[in-house]
Amino acid sequence: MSRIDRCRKPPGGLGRAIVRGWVIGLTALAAACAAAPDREQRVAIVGPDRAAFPPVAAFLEHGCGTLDCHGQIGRNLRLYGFDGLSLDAADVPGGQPTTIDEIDADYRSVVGLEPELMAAVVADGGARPERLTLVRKGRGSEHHKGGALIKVGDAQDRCLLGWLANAVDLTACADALQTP
Amino acid sequence: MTPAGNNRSRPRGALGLVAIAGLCAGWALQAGCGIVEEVVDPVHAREIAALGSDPSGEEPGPTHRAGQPCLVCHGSAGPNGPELSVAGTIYQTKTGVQALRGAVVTLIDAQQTMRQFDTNRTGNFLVRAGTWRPVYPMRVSVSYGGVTVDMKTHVGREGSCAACHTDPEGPVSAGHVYLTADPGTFPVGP
Repeated sequence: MSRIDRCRKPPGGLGRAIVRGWVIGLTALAAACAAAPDREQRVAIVGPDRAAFPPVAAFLEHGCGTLDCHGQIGRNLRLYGFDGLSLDAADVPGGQPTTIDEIDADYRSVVGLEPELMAAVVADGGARPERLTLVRKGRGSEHHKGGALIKVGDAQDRCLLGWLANAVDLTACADALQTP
Repeated sequence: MTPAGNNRSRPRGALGLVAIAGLCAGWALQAGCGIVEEVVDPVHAREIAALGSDPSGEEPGPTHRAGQPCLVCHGSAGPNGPELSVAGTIYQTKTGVQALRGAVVTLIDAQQTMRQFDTNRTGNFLVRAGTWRPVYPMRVSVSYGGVTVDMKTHVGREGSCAACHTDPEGPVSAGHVYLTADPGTFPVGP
């Protein structure tokens, strides 16, 4: 490229203004024509068995739910329970044992992370659980600030994956609770 | 204005924003850590600003800013040295704010490595990152005058006690770290 070419001014402002006008106009038209979201629309989500969740919740809450990790209000995966955040305003961390309401809240939090994917994993009998961010982050295969806390095939992994497959391994969940 | 003129005006605007951000960060550091240095992360800058000035009047050092989250300024992201891996403040009782001097804080990390540290006259203890970095999760206990209290839960990854132990006690905080709940049972001496 010659020196003159490098110093040449970019294309004129009129053409650019016309393009901008078209882009803005088309965007506004698309926004105006789009249907408003239906407030009453509901998507059916089939999560893993809530009744089988308590032993899973126990290890998740113990291992992941301390105040400095997922026991915080602002977390997407927000976990309540004895080891961290309390749902009852009169309770304190490390105070009362984990309540049914807190397990309910934990269930909604876990299933609600990626509800469609969770439903798909459950529908597939727990196959390819690594589709879930919950599993990938726990295993550390996706960046996780808390590190790789679950190893493929260890008690925590078997507890979580058993639940996703609607076949909770109570022994694995009990062993998972001993970690750390 | 020519297109070339437009192109030149954008960097000036960006530079202006950077300058404002720099001034804000500098102010935050002056308010929190007492030094002027750029902190690029605005979240970190806000955490520093939230500390405010030190109400104790202590000179910067191991006894200052008791009860505050030490690693906000002394963590791996700085801005102040020395870098600490764990630090906090221990109080005598649940209801009072008298510092517990001479207590022994025992830390046991995930590799079962144990380290013990004494609290100073403002109740502070600190672990220099150069001497030890615990592998989390970590368990904690405090001993004084024949009384030993274990923390009920483990520490997941946070090195500042005050990141979780802030007053008032409630559903999202365990309150300050103390030896005895009842002042009547506080031991006579170390």
